[in-house]
Amino acid sequence: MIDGILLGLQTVLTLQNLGLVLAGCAAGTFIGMLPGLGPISAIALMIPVTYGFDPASGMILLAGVYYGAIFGGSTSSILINAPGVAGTVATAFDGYPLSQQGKAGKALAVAAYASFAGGTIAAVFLVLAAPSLAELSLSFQSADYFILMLLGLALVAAFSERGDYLKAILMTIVGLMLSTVGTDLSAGVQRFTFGRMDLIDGISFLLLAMATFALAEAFMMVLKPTPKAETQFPTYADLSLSRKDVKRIVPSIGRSSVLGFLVGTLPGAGATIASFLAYGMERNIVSPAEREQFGKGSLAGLAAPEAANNAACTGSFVPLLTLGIPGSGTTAVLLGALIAYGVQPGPRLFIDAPEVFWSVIVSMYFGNMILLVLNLPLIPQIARVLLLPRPILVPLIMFFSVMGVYLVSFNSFDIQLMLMIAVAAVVLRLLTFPMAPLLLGFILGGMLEDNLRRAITLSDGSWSFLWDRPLTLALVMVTTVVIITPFIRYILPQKRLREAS
Amino acid sequence: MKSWLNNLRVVGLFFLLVSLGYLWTAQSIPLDFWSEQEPFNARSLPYLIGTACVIVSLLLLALPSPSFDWSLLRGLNIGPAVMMLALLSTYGFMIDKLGFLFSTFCLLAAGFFLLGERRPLRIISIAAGVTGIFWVIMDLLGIYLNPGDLFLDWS
Repeated sequence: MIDGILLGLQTVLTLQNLGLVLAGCAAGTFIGMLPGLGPISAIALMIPVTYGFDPASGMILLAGVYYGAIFGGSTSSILINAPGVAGTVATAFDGYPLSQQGKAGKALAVAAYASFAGGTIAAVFLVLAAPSLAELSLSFQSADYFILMLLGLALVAAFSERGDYLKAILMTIVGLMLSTVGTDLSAGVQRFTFGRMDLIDGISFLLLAMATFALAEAFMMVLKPTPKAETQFPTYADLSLSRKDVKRIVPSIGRSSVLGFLVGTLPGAGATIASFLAYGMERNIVSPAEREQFGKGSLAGLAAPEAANNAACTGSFVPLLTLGIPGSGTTAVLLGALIAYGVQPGPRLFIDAPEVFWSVIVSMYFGNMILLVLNLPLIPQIARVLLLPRPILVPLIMFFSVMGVYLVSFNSFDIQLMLMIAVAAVVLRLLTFPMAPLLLGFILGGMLEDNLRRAITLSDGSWSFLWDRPLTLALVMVTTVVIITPFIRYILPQKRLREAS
Repeated sequence: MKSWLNNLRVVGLFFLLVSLGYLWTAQSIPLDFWSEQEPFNARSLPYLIGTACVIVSLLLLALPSPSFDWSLLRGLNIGPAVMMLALLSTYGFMIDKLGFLFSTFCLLAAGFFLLGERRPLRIISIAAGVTGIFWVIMDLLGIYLNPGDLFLDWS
């Protein structure tokens, strides 16, 4: 493990890679701050930039973007009560009141310290957990992978909002459907291309991510202009915390980081759920006097979700790096990027490309440090992006999304396809269909098929592989429970409602 | 009837049709003799996914769905959004013909104007600035952007 950390340090501590962490954090903060644009859009927008680098450098940049986006999201939560990212909605509960009381600097500082601590604690857990988990997962077979992927997809739907369960399942399936477009690699036959040359290679994941997130979000900004929030921009960052403040937030940060990491490692959960859980947990744990302050500008109430969402971001790399199965929309995009670099994530990553594995882990730590040391003091300047007028901002975002896709293929058909998908995504978004499951289904589709084919072929066309090994059987049972439980929860209240009426 | 056919059911119906079309298309995926004998071939996964989609769509249609808050859809700025869409689509058609520089400048300038920016100096300077800087960066990275067939023909 020490060797691994040293290898990671060696990779990260080059001028180029340090510069990339810095650039990634800055770009991520910038994009994440814009209300509506979250980490998925930020990463998708930055992927074309990384194609020129080697995989380790590319991942270092993207990990920086991820952290930066979350950090930027908390900044806009605190300053204008408009979370750029779902994972920082809970940050606004106490962050915005603080900022209204003229304590924006303090709130930003608490958020940054909590994020840093959360990220650091989680990075330590990741270093401890990932290698052993990767070794364990080497014993997994195709059947297990197939079930694990199903489990991941089911969990994403299960963790969606209560009434949206079927919607999330449907979106996952649509993602899987889209993944079958193109040439089937096993037999070399074309599927669902409708005779179009442009579709022979399938739909690129970048195109889909850009269309369903960055571009769709830009269109949402046009459709639903958010009223400009009045706020006091801090002219300078007063980052001082009193000893009392520190004493108040330290225990919250500790608890929330552990919780955040654990939640983050679950496929399907992630930063949003972690931050809400941490906020809820903290509210139940603190003294009644402190509880009174929750929602009115409690420092503990701000520190908890911030520590948790950063810890969860780090946690979500565990299934990605060890199993090659992304647990969230964001890690799904990262997985897509890895595949585009020609790196196959999964337990073999740890053996085949240790420099990628370890440099991502080490760069996370550097990313956290850079956010604290460089971004925080610069926040008053960076926050000016919030003042950029929409008529200027929106066309620019659209241009960068379109260019990001066009520059990879130089095929203008991709632009039209992207627009069609974006329109569909906007309509579905308006009807509150979640988009992350679609992306996840799309990215897992190919691997799901590979593993299922292998498993079925190995068992001579029988489905007995599902119960032949105890490990697979256990996974099948867990997956079944995960699929059925939310479904029962989905129908029960409505049945009761119908009986009542 | 109107109250039964809420937005979720419309989507359910839509995806039911999509999945039936998907299954129907999956039937015509070409298979050679050997693949047809295999337990898992190019049609297998599409069949599974299509069937799953039929089931979920039917569930959406059959189950009582939670009421949808229609006020979420009120007051949408549809006009500018459709115009931006048309603009981007035109850009997609024009970029090969008119070249990167000219079409990007037009896209950005028109986009700024459509969404409400009215100061000409600002529109032109930002559009020209972004186009130029992007062009220079791409040039430095060694990425060739087509100056436009039309202009190439002239010269």
